[in-house]
Formats: sequence, structure tokens, C-alpha cells
Amino acid sequence: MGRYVVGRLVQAGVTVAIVATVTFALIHLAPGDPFTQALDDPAVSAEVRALWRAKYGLDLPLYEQYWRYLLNVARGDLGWSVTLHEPVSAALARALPSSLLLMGTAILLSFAAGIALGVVQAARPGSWVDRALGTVSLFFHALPEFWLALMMLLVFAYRLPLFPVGNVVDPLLYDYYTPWQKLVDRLRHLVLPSATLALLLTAGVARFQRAALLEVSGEDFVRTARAKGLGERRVLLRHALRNALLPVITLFGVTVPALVAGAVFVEKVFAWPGMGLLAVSAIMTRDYWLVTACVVVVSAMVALGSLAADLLYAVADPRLRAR
Amino acid sequence: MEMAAEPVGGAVPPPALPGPPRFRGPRLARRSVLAGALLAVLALTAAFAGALGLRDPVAQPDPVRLSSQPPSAAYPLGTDPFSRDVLSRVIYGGRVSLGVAALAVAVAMLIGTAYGAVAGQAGRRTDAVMMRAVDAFLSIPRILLVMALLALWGGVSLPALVALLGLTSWFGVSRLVRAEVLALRERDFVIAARALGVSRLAILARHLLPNIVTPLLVSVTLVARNVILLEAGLSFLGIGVQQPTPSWGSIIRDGAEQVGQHWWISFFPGLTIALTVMALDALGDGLREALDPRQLPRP
Repeated sequence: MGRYVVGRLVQAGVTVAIVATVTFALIHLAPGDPFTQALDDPAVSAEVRALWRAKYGLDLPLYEQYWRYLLNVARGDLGWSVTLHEPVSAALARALPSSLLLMGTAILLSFAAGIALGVVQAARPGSWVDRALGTVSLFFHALPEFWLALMMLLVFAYRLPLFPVGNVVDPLLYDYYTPWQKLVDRLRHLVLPSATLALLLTAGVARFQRAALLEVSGEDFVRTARAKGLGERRVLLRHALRNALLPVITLFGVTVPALVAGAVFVEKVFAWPGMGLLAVSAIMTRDYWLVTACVVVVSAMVALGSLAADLLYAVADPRLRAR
Repeated sequence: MEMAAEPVGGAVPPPALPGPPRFRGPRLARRSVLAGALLAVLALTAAFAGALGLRDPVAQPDPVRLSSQPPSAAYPLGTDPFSRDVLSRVIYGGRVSLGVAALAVAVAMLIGTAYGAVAGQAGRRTDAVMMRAVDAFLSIPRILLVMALLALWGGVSLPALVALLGLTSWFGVSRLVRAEVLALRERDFVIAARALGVSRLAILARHLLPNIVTPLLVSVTLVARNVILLEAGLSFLGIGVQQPTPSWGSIIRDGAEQVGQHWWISFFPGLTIALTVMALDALGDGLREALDPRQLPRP
């Protein structure tokens, strides 16, 4: 078991290293350099540009830049953001917790709802409930995230003023709130973005859980449980579901990339100051080091997510531990 | 021994025996047939958009008085902030979105199949290296990868956008093809062909590819729905299809600012995207069920 963990950690590390390399290559292959944007002022002379390039080591040969970059990343120095005028790690440290809050809430909601829906659907396969839920699932799975976000805004923030329009906290009043009001304010702001993300993922989880449960229901031990005279609910929940939850754990690893991709749009529409918004604005303003760092951090999150899923699966399934 | 008397008149016909079972061919679920019909309608509307007598999707007839008008008899889907007819923009936008998607899917399928076939037939080391690279690319959320590429190169032309979408969508296909090729390699007819000295390329073309057409067909719908959503997302962010060319995503972008007051601008193109993707999903599900060789033909 220990060897399995170490092996997977190394694999994840290799993947992140490859991603960092690819990002580095892509950025340096693109036309221009980090200062095309920042020093667009024609009054800035060529000497100043050369000075900046030398300062940031951009006049070094490519392989040496790459080596320095790797060393810096290993040390934790992710570079300087020319648009935000602060170290990249500071910008990331600000954005990452917001993103994790949003994505964590969305994953919890979507898996809870998805598993529940899958169970309901698999309890009576082929019934109208199953088919209706299946079609609704299919619909939500097909929606563009940004469109769903806009429609949620329209209905729940504009037409029915139940929730705020964006941001993490109320920009004006937050500082004057009592701790309890602060918590409520944060929760109110969290509802719409996380609900939007969760709605999109729930459909996928429900489909998967339904298929897994139906497959398990055909197995012998389920038939035995029924033959023993146990109630259908007990058979379903206590015997079948326990085994059908395992594939859903691997789904967790696959969901993280979709979650991150969806989060980019949701954060933009709801002005949620997370990694997605940071990455988008960095890309738009060609803030090279910030872009690189964002892509690498996001890929690391994805790799860690799938690693966590695999480890969870190994813990949950005793058959794997026998190896 | 008494002989049985012959019945008078016509003999009783013997009971009818059941004939040989008739193979009805793969059956497509009704939902998938409807989905296919919807997609055909969309494709035809997009292709023959010019013949439908719609208003110009790009011209701005009256930005002062006609902008952001709600749906009415004259403008069934309303007008956008630049007084353009939303209905005609959605239809012409469909031409762009679907066209880009179709071409990008073709590119992705070509590259993915080639890569997967080569990896499947290669030695174990080469295969491992090739697939490790694919895994690494799969771990980057595609939207970020494409956004980074697009933004670093500035706004791109349509052909470049198609190429980029295609070049970033083939990874899943290659894994599928590789898995199928690996399985097929052990089959008797392939081993026999190798023993006879047939070249690798000929084995690929004559034996392997025809047998992976079925799962490839299903994955076409999957790649297509992902490309449509990706292109819409990029256009929504402003880095996909450039203005004033309409694309479903960019029309949504036009209406995003005032979605609270002028909801129709963002609502209708998004609904169209949802229906298209839903149809593709349903079609893919139906194809997978119908073409699954393990399922017995239904009586």
C-alpha cells in the first residue's frame, strides 16, 4: 500500500513537471515577450527594454531560462506579476482559498445530490421517474456553464432578488457586520456560484451512479440479500450501494478538470475572485509568469485530485490492498 | 390393423413452423432518432441560412431606436444592443459554430486515430511514452490550455481557431483507439496477417480500422459536443470567433451585461447550444447502445 502511494505521488509529480515544461515552451514560443504589453509606451526607449529583459533573465539562452525556472519553482518563487505589481505567489495565495471554497462546496453538493438521484433512478429502472430524471440530467449536462450562470443570475438575483449579484462578500457593508452577519453574508454570496457548478456536475454523477448501481444489482450477493427477505430499501442502501459507490470515487478524480473548467466561467460571471478569474485576466493581459503559475497550479490541483481519488479508492476497496 | 380413415375434403394444413429468426439490424432508440432529426434540421438551417430571407446579421440598422428591443412579431427573438436581429444572428451564428465544430472534429478524429493506432502498434516503451504525454495533456483543463494559446497569440482567424480546437481535442480519441488496437492485435486474424508478412500499414488499414469504426462513431458525438461547448466558451470570453461574425457564444457575450433587463439576447443562443449538445449526447447514447456487439438483437 505504501509503495502504491509513493508510486502514484511520483507519477503525479512527473505529470506536473511535464505540464510546467509544456507551458514554459508554449509561452516562449508565442510572439512578443512579457514587456510588449507593460511597456507599450513608445516613450520607453530600447535601452530600458533591454535593461528589463536583462533583469528578468530573458536575454539568457532558452535552456538556461528553463533550468532557472525549474529551480525557482522548486524553491517556491513563482515570479513577479507585472500587471498586479506583486509576487505571483502572493496573488495565488489570495485567489486559491476562494477557489477552493467554491469548488469544494460544489463538489460536495454535486456528489451528494448525484448519488441520491442515482439511487432514486436505479431503485425503479425504466419507470417514469427514472426516465424523467434521466432527461433532466441530460439537459443539465448539456448546458454551457456561463449560460447557466447568467440564467441563474437573471432568475435568482435580478427577477427574484434573493441572492446578491456577485463577489464574495458585500463590498460596502461587510466591514460593519457582526460575525454572525458576516457568516450569513458569505453564505448568501456562495449559494448561486456553487449551485451553478453543482447543477452541472450532478447530472454526470447521477448517470454514473445509476449505471454502477444497476450493474451491482445483478450480482449474487444482492440476490442473496433479497432472498433472505430483507426489505428492498435495506438491500439497496446497505448492500448494493456500498459496492456501487466505489466507481463513483474514481469519478471524483475525473470530475476535477471539469470542475476547474466550469469554475473559470462561473467565477467570471459572478465576479468571484478565484484562480479562474485570475488566470483569465492574466491571460488577457499577457502576464507571463502569472499565466504559467496559474496553469501549473491548476494542473497540480487536477493531478492531486485524481491522486486523492485513487488513494481513496484503494482505501475503500479491500481487494486492491491484497496486492 | 385398422387404417385411419382419410379425412374427406381438403387435408388439414400442418401447423405453421416458426421460420428462421429475422435479423433486424441495429435498432436505434426513439429518443436518439429524434435527436438525429433535430441535428439534421439544425445543420440544414445553418447550411441554407442564406435562402431563408433573414435580415443581415451584421448590419446595424438603427442603433438609436431599435437596440435591445424585446421579442415581438417583427423580431421574433428581439434585437441586440446594436439593433441587430437576434433570430438571424442565431441562425448565422449556428452556421459558424456548427461549421467550426464539424471541421475541428474532423481534425481531432484524424490526429487522434493516427496517434492511437501508432501507439497501439508500437513497442511497449514507445507506447508508454506516447501515452504519458497524452495523460499530461489531458490533465490540463482544456479551456485553460486553449485560452493561454489564444491569448498569447492574440485574436486568431477562423481557420486558426478551427486548427487549435482540433489540435486540443484529440487526446481522448487517441486513448480509445489505442485501447481498441491493443485488443484487436491479439485476435487470430491479425496474428495470421502478421504471420503472412502483411505490412503494419496494411494491417492497420485493412483489419484494424474497419473494426474500430463503431466506437469511433460514438466518440465523434462526444468530441463534437465538447468542441461546441469549448468554442462557445471561448467566444463568450471574447477570444474565440471575433466580432462582428456571429457565433452562439459571442451573442451570449453581447447580452451578458444586461441579462437582468434584456434577457432575450443571451437566452436564445444559449438554449440553442443546450439543445444541440443534448441532441448530440442522446445520439451518442443511442449509437452506443445500438452498435454494442454484445447485446442480442431484440426480437
